[in-house]
Amino acid sequence: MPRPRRKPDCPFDTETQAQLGLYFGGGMSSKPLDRMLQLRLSALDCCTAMLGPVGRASDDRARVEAAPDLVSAVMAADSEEVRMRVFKQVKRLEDLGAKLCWPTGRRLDESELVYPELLRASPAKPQLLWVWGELSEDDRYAVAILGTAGASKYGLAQASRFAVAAARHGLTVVTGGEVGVDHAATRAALDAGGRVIVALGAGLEAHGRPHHRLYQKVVQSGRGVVVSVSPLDTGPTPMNQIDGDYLIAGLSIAALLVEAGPGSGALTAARVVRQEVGRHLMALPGPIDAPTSEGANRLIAEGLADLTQSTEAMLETVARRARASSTTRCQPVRRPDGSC
Amino acid sequence: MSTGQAAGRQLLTRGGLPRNVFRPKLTDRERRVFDAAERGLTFEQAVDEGIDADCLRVVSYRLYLAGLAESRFIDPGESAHANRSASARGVGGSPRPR
Repeated sequence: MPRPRRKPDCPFDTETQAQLGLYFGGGMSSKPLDRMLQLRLSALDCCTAMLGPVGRASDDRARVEAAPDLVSAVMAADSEEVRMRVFKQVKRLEDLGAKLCWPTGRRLDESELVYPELLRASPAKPQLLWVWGELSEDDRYAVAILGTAGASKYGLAQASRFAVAAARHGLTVVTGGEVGVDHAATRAALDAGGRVIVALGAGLEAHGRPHHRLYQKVVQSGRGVVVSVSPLDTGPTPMNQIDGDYLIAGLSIAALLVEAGPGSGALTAARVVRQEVGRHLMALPGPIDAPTSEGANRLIAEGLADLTQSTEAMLETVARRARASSTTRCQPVRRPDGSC
Repeated sequence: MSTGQAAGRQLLTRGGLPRNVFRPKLTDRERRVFDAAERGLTFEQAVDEGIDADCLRVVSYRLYLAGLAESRFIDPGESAHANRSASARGVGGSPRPR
């Protein structure tokens, strides 16, 4: 493990602690972290520059002072309350075996985690990601499986079937970690030997026992990871559920809606995927008199989701989307005769 | 041209470009799948030659996803099973030939 960069006059020993300090000091907003990145400074640099003696790191200090919201976050981070909160959070991260991850491309001093590539391209990427388990480069090919907690037998069966197909073709399955469709897809993908990402809006430790057991199974399998946008003990709220939807969308090339009633959270997640993050959406049709299929049928009718009737169709759609993005990245050069 | 041949040809032409233009680096596993595709083998033939079915499915789909192949090996058993189970539930499957 790399040696912590202890800086004199700074209340924090490591970059992780300093970042959490700015996060909590800024009222759990990522704005101070955004500003810090714009200034090309680390959290430790910001804290040292502002909290150390005048004259030390004066260049950094001048840069931080130009950003009032960052200054107030640093000052608040120096309070006893925030420091206690940071150290408690770091202790719980260590106990759980979880880590923090952030999207700068620079790695944390005590972490080897790399921010997921797909999420980095998302318009609503979180500045801090709580990660339990190991992220893999293979996760750049991921499909989300969405659905209601109160799924029918048909919904559960289809969620499993599509998750197995994705897993058997090497696609990572992203779910929201709820009961119903999410649990069915998670279990099926793991049992088929595939990788799974469970993406949460609430904290990693803020779920009931059945959920926690499944998350443990995901992590202990060595083929899965549970990620969250909230501190470990943050309970589920309507706001962080939406954050979780953005996370699911950001981590996936495309999403498949299996079943969703008219007021279902899965329907909201599907709309976030398509309309907010701009990822591709597929939906399974269901009986017209089944309340659990009303949402999916409506999205298909509105043209927001592709009608998907087979696992092959899902695989082809995901491949089409992935190829479209890889073509723009690779830009193969053509020979004069037109061949590649 | 069979599905496998098409995938192989696409890989071959891209692999043949000058080093500084575009040259996919293939692992051993990918190379074996690529070779099977180049020889125009079907999924079953490649499996008979000792390529693991899971490896064939995953690697050829991965090459296809990455845009390094124009097509992929499709496991006929799985495809038939998927369509059968879908048809049995009355929710789709391949259309019957006219």
